[in-house]
Amino acid sequence: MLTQLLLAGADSSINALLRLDPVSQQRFGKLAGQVLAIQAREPDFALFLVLQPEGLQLARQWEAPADCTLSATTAELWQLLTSSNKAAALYQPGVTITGNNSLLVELADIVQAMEIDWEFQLQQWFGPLAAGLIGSHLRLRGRWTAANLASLHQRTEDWLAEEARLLVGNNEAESRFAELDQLKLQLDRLEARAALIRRQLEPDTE
Amino acid sequence: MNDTRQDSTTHFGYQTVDEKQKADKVAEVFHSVASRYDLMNDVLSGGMHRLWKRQTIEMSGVRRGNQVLDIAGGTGDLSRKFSTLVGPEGQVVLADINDSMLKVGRDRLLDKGVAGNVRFVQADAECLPFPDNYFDVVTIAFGLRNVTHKDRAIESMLRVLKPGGRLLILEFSKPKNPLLTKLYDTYSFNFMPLAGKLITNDADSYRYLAESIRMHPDQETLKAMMETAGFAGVSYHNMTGGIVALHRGIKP
Repeated sequence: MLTQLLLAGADSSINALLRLDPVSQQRFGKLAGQVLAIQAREPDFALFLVLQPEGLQLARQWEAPADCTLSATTAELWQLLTSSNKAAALYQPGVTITGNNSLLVELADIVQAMEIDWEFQLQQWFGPLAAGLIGSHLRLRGRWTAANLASLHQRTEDWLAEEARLLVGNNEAESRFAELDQLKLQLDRLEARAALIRRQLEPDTE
Repeated sequence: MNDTRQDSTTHFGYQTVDEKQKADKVAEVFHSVASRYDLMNDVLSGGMHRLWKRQTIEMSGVRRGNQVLDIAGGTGDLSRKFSTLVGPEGQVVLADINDSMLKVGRDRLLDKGVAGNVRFVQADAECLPFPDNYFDVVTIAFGLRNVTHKDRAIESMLRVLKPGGRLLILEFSKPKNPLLTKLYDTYSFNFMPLAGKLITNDADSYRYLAESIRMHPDQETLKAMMETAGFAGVSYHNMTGGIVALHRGIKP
């Protein structure tokens, strides 16, 4: 029942989000009654998306056959979820689609095209003027945060590159030590040969 | 297994009543609670009835084009979901013996835009007014314990199912854990009538609800009843520690 509770919470949240974008919700509604099965590997788990007129229902098991089955590793599924080009991510080598793949393509397209009008939602609560002010303030803060995050990312990258040049890795150090040992042995041999030659050139003292 | 006594009496909660009176008494209870049935379900189960019904839908195997019978469908929670799953080429029949509950269910579904593939039929589960071998799936959620002759009702459900069709019975049952049983009894006989009194001004109906749950056959007994009626592959799935059980059987 705990899983049911978690799934109920998850699909309520997704449906609440969908309500904020009536166009996407309408597109979802057109697919109502169809079932998408997601079979994940590493770790193994199954999840069913049952499309409803007002959104979707998530299920851990589904006795009826699914219209479309998507099989992939969990990492590939995550990549698919977060990718900005979902259609391309669907056709990676590790991803297998069986059944009606147009359902999956349509779903990916809906998720990709989702645009939630947060300002309109704020307007419902605070009125148009306040919503406009809050919206522009949040947009400004959002841009500032994005710019700072990009800058932080760039600086971290630069710093790591610098550090990488100053520090020597263990394998590289071992290789250098081996070269030095070899050099020392060669010097010892040269020294011994020079001593031998010196002895041969010296006049016989006897 | 038969819940009737030798002198044509049966139980109504903890009372023994004449068989003919039980249907009327059950009808009275549901006429009384119909208007606030959903609210009371949410209050008394803490919203758990939604999760139990979700599980039932997951395990129903209903698919596009199916004919589904939702007996004792009440306010139409299951019928609404089934309506989407069967699509325009399928059909859902919401049946209830109680006209007040049926009206509430019909109005609720129509208000939510569910129409076209749902029919509403006032019907007694013991003698279902449908042809033999007609439905792919039959469900009865929290209704069987109110039926006077449960064995007859199960036989009737078997008759209307197609071969290979499945029956799902979602019903209160017996918790396995003694501590949970104790807590559940305290809750049922103290809180439920009080909540009934406060919300619907009807403590008796909710006292009947608690008593009828205790008089209902336990998991194994109901499984045996289904097997006796002729169902194959009967199994049950306990939920919330056995407070509720979902029985499934297939018509051979």
